[in-house]
Amino acid sequence: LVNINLYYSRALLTYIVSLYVYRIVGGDMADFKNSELWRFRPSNLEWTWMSGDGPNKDAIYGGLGEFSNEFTPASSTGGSMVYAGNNMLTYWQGYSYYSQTNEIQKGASFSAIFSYNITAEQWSFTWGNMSNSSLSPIYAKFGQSNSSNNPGSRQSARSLTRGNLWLIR
Amino acid sequence: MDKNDNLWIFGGGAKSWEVFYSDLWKLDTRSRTWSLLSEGAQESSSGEIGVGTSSTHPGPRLGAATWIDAENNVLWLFGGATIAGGLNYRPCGDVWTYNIATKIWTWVSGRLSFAEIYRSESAQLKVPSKTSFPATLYSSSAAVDNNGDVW
Repeated sequence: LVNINLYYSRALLTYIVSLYVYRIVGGDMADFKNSELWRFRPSNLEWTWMSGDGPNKDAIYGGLGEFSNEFTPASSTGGSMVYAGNNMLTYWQGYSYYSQTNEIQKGASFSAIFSYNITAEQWSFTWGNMSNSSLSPIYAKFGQSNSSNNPGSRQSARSLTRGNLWLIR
Repeated sequence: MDKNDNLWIFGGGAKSWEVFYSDLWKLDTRSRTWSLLSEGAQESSSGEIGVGTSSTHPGPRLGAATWIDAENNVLWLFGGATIAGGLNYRPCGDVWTYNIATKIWTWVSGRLSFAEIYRSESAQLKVPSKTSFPATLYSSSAAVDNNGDVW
């Protein structure tokens, strides 16, 4: 009976936690955050592993706007990527591995954007906050571009681009 | 969104993720009318890789990455989460195409197994392969560059 109660307690806890990501009963959600960038070529069905190395990796930020082979987004799920033109990808980092958090799954959402230069094959941290994982949206100016505006920490948002980056939740 | 201003929607979840869909819908944004192009099913029917038939189709899932080819003929789908019984959800690693003209789904690449949560052991950094795949992913995001490559 104790075992059954423990099972259901654990299942309930898993259900509640996973409302923020997805439910994986009996699994380790940390393993499903991934830091790898892959390229798929539909013309010949070839896959190429381009950067990153699996789950449980913190982001390596470097200087804002600086590109390097060293820099990388964190292992994450629920990120959002668009092609920004000029051989650049823009990536809104979603629910990410964060070793500094006390959360059991070592996950956090950030308000952070990385860019990937397809030609140079390098990442850069290009906008956002790398330390505050619970930033609320800052609605400084409605309908106007303003440096104080900030969509805040979030995951599983959707984005699209035609010149500017649009983020939807 | 295709070049004819049609918005395509595949799958998704509802009722606090108790229901996952596998149907394909098209919204004509000019007339604002919906068309059901592919009916849903409880499980994937993959058939042989690269061979699409009137009965092959991906299973229910949410959070899949989708894109449309430059010629506007083919919808592509990768990954997402699917139901694996009860409250168990599993990440997907399969790639499917939907031919808009023939209305046929085809499994063209990737892994159908839910267990492979890491990249293929054979994968080598920056070496293209048709047999080494990324980890199965619950919630992935795809972007298509000017060369038609998907990231």
